[in-house]
Amino acid sequence: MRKKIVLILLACGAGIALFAAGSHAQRRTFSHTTAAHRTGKFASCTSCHVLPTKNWTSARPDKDKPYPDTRNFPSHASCFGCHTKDIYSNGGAFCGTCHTVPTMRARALLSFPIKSHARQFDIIFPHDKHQELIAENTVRETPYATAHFVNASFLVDDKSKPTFYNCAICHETRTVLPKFGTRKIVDVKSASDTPLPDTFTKPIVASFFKDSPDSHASCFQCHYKFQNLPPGKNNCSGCHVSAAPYFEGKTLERYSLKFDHDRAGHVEKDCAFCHVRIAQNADVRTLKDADVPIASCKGCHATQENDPAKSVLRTEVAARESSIAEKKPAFQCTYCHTAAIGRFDTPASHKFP
Amino acid sequence: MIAVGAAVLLFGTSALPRLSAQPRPSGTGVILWQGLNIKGPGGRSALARKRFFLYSGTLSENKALVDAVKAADITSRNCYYAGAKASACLINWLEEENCESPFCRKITQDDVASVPEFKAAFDKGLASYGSRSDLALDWIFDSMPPDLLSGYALKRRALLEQLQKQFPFKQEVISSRTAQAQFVGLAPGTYVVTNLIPIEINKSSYVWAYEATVSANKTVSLRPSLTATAAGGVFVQKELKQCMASECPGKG
Repeated sequence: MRKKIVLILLACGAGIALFAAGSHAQRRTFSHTTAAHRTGKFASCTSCHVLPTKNWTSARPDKDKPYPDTRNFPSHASCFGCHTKDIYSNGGAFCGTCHTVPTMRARALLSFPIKSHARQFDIIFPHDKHQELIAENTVRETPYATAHFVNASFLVDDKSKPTFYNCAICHETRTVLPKFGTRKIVDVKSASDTPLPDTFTKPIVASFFKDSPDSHASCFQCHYKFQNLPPGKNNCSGCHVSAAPYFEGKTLERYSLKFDHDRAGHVEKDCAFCHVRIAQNADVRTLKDADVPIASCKGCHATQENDPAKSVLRTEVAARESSIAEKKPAFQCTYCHTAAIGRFDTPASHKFP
Repeated sequence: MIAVGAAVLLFGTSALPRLSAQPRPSGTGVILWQGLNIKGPGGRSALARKRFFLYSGTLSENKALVDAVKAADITSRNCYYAGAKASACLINWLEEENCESPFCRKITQDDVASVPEFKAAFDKGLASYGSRSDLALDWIFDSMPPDLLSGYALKRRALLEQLQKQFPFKQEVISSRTAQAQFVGLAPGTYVVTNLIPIEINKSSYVWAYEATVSANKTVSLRPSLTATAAGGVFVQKELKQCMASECPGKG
């Protein structure tokens, strides 16, 4: 009797182990890098992914107005040719790759794309090639002169004024405060081990920041169904390149957290006036250091004018140098920076002859 | 005694705030191209959103480059679009705001009504996007023929790439709305700034190649002119052939 029980238990255990192993293998996150998924007829993304999917007209989770897009998993036909055996084994556990319930009777689909899964592709966006798009900034049209945007006379709402395309096609001012943080500094010494408490003339709000596209909405204005792409780039992999799986960080990191894009003096400026390096960049991943060089700031903030804001770069650099010369605690640069950055050694680029 | 002295020295220095021990390193300079004084049609800045290129060395050291930019010829915007069978209304739309391509500015319903190419693209979009007029308008570029959309820009780019291949540049920038372009992070020395391929302004083409000497932590300004060369500068003006009248019938 005891032997029978032991045998039954062993058999159950083996069965559970087999099921678990089988289920685990068949519930793996779909990998685009599996050899079978990227060779032969599957070398092209369009062998599985349809543009647009049938459900493109339904409400979008991002609340954008619906537009033709890939909004669903590939159809069964994409998988069944190779995975028929998997579908009919282990009670349909394989179906859990796309369906909420991993059974052969599954109906409801997981949300596409699956946000809990690591991303498997990087986006290549060559800013340099898109320069032609980046034209004049729009002038705000208001029926009255406003206090923070001073003009010599009343502005008349002029609907005939053209709207030129600029960086704002893709990079809009944020309306929701993102997670933000300080960008790491490397290879620079700290001039002070005691960071001062941070103070802000204006608390950090959403409009300090710009966003970046996280959908096809802006791209498809010119490139829907691979329009206007050069030979060799007119497919999904023209923009989406295979990458080691990663989770995208949601924290916006800056060297100068106090910079407010929306304040007077900044908001009227053309993006390209400060963002000099990006216009030459073919792949953002290769852009090391700040996109905005300090030279961009010096034009307005390192003048000889008798206005604290307009000479602040000179004042703060001088204050740092004299604090060192007088062997006092190192002055910390806080007009633009929080103490996390402002307490480090002054870079050579910030100094004056 | 020596040990005490050493201890005092050690203790004394460690009590001071950490001082920067770096000697003042040599800095880099900036060249600022300021083209706001150059006006195009309607008094608008003609050098806003244009590319400028930086080369190391003097003008005489870059003689081959200078000779090549002097010899560079472009087709006028008017002739390119006329050759691409664009309507007078499309050419008028481009010339109105000194645009090189329809990508330049947002196309409105009024533009769709007055420019046949935009109307055709809009109608094509309506058919493609389930009669969604907002999509047909927002995605109008997807429905336009490539030669009208980007042909002119690609032609200019082909000339640019040919010259860039022959003469690789050190830096390239695109000028701002106020026709300013900055070359930053430059080691002290002499450089040449040029637009490389001619820029069309008021039915003529212009090339500038100016020399600038950069010092550490200083900004050198260059101001182009339409009528005279700056000292040490190269200036080429050529009249551009116009192929087609661009009056748009019915446009106010």
